[in-house]
Amino acid sequence: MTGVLDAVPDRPVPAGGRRRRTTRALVLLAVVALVGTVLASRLGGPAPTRSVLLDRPAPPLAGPLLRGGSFDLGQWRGEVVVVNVWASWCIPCQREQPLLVSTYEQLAPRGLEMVGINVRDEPKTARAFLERYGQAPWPSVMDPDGRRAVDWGTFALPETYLVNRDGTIVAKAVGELDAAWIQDNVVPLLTGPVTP
Amino acid sequence: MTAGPHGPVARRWAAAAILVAVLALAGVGLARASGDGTPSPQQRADAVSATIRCPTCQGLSIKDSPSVLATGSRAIVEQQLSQGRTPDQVRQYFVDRYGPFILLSPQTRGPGLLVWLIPVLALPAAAGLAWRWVRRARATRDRAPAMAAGRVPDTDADGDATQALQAFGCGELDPDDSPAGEALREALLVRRAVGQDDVTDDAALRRAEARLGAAYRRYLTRTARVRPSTGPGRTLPRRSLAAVTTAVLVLTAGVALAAGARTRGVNDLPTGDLPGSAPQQRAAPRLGELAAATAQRPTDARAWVALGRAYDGTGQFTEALAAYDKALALEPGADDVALLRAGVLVRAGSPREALPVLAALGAKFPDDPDTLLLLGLAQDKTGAPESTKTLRRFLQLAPDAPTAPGVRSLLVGR
Repeated sequence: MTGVLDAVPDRPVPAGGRRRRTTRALVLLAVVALVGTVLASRLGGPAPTRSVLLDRPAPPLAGPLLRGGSFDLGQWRGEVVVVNVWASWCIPCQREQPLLVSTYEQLAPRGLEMVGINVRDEPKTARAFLERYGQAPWPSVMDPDGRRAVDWGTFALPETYLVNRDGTIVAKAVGELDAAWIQDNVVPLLTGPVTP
Repeated sequence: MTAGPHGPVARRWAAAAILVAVLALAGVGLARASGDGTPSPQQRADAVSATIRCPTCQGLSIKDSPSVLATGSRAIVEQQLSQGRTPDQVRQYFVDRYGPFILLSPQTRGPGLLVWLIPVLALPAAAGLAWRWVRRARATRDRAPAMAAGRVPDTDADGDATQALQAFGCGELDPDDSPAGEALREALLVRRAVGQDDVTDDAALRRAEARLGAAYRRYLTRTARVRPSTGPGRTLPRRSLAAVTTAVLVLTAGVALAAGARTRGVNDLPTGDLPGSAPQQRAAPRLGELAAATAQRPTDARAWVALGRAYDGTGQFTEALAAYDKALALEPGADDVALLRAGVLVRAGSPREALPVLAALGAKFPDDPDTLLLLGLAQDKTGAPESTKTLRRFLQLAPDAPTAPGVRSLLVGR
């Protein structure tokens, strides 16, 4: 009873076999599609403006200042703070400096605080830069090896972060600042009287 | 005592010896590869740094990138490891600030886990499938000679016919569409029809049995002969493979299109002050080499100049300026470097800063077209009236320069 029946090749069993093959192909297809989706989603990369630090507590920022003395961002709890990451060798930083100066002049009376993170600069060069572009009156923390900038999740210079009164990062600008960003993000947080 | 019984034993010993030797070599290789004992702090920091993406340049790890933020990131890695934090904790620090994208290898949870699991699952699955194909092909091959030699010439028509009928009845036998299959199916139906007749016609029954037995044997011989001749490949699920290949191709094309169609907008990453562009990616390996050269020979001004030129060529002006500054610090009187630096400033939109240097160089080399061109452009961009004179002088000296037509169009109407 065995012999020939066993020898019957298992190939010509089309009905079930074909269905099984189709199922297998579909399973493989599903796996390929899934892997493809995962890979494709990672290809896109992040939008750097959508920092993961947004809506999270600002990282600590403390250290020696460019013009002497030391600084701790913790002291400014309860204030609206603009944190600007800059360097004298960074060309967009040079271009945005006049806007920062005028923003500070207009908004500091309404309660805005500003602090810079000066990345990998010679203090002398950095001070000369500030003088040339309008003697920024706000403090700048020195960051000789870029650690503080990385602490703040900086991708490239310049970047600017806005910290609200409870110490949360609420906005981030990548690249050269423009007046619209100040108007849209910074101004609404200020409560002080509008100066003419 | 013949050689006969020793043959297989000796072979088995030889195989075992070879296996042991291979395992021993593999062990030695592993030991060598893993280095001598515990890695140094620098090696540990390098290993972690190699897994973290440079925030500025993205295609490189912070270990390989010369950018400012990569340097800061390396310092953080070293500091945290020396404070006793584990590599995973260090990586988490970066993920907390930049998102999971900052890791060069996918994470071991969430969707990233899939990327790790698939090879682990796919390998045994593929091995299992391959084993099944091989086994099936071998079974078919082994069966063929048996049937050719033994079963087929057997004229036991009754036995074969009964078996075929039974196999057909319980669905184990489903003849294919080949002529032999068709003949077998027909013979099966005829045999069934004869059996169902009320009046049994013995002669007809015998004829039907004989026909069925012959058709069955022919069918078996054919399938046995056909299959091994095409080899194991015959049993590969070609259609599935074709489907998967097509899916992969379509997917790749789709992803490529989607990635290409993504436009760079205001929210995209500015590298320095320029959007990342194709030449920048092409130059990346060269930049890495040049940066490594400056790291090896930090006092070699020419290495810095080469790095600066490479950055300049990829539009990374801030980095180019930093490299030229290093070169100038080492070779303060290098006029060619000063000229290169001024060129970067003019192109990067800071002609005012370049002007004093260019004026000095112009006074020193009043007949150098390159100096005159840059000086003229800087004067033009800052609104200095001397620009026309300087640029005309440039055109006199280098009327066939590639930049001459552009300069002429600038001077039209002056």
